[in-house]
Amino acid sequence: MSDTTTRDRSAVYRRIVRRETHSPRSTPAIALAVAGILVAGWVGTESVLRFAGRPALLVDPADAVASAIALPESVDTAVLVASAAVVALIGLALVLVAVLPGRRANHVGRTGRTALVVDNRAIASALARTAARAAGVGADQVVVSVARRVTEVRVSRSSGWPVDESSVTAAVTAELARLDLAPSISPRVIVERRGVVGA
Amino acid sequence: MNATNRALNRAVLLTVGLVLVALGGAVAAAALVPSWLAVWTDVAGGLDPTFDPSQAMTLAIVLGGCLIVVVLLLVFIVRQGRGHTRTMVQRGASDGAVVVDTRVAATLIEAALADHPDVASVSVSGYRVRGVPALKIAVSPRRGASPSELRDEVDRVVERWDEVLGSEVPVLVTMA
Repeated sequence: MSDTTTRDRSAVYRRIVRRETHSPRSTPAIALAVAGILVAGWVGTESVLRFAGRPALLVDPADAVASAIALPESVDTAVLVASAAVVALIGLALVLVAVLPGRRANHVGRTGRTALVVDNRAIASALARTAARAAGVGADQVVVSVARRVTEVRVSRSSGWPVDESSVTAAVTAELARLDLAPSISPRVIVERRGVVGA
Repeated sequence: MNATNRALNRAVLLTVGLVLVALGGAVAAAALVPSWLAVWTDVAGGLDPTFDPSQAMTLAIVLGGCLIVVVLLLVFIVRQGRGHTRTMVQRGASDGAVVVDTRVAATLIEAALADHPDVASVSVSGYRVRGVPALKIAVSPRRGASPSELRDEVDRVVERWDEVLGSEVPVLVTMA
């Protein structure tokens, strides 16, 4: 096997990164398949029991079909509408899972020799340390949340010690620039007005 | 990074979802609107309510259908998440062949990174992407570690691995 050319490599990296940043939807797909297997297994079992003239496990298949046909008359309207709505909502949820992009909570770094995908929690953890250092507070006085395009850095200052908001913003901005992530993240630094005593 | 058929997953979820929406909507409409109820009774009344698996033929058809559904769904489940490979490099020659196992890469790279102070844990696995063997290096950084510094360190280790291997396989680094 020869070395991959640069062009092949970038195509491979594009596919890898795309797969790492989007959900494969395996969990809902497997759940659905398991449900389908249970239903098919149940239908088969009931049919065999009926054929052998044995009592049904849950419902006799012929009874089930007959009562489905008679459904609008045999069941209370409110109950029927409510169960139908639940079924439709489950269906809607499945449609949304299938159609929405299914982005994972991570960001892509610059591709060089290697491709890089960083989880938002790892980004938040790094930014928290940067912000705590710039603010001169303990690591547990900074709370960072990272979303797709913005990050919120919340610093609670120690009572009586001022925190320079602009220097925290500058440090966080510099760290984000070094990370060079896609999509890019803009920081929002909030210094709590009330200080923490004993921190 | 694995070879899961994502389009198929989406198609299955979409199809089942649409069927459930249609089913729920039809039942709700039939229950609420009297004129729709008439449609329901017409259609349902036309069906043969004497479905009866006590006939051997009916039983065979039902069982066969159930079996096909179960087998297809099992195949569908088993095919999720495949695409691992054990072979990183394979070079054939007239008088023999060289095969480099993924475990060689995993052992070397994990050993090189495990002692780094910013690394909590690291695991390396091999995949086949577009017919090309590729490595995934999953790094768990310690709390507060800078991903950019860690990435530089991982890249240095990968370059040493490239020299060992004599070729550059695609490498994905994840930090989570």
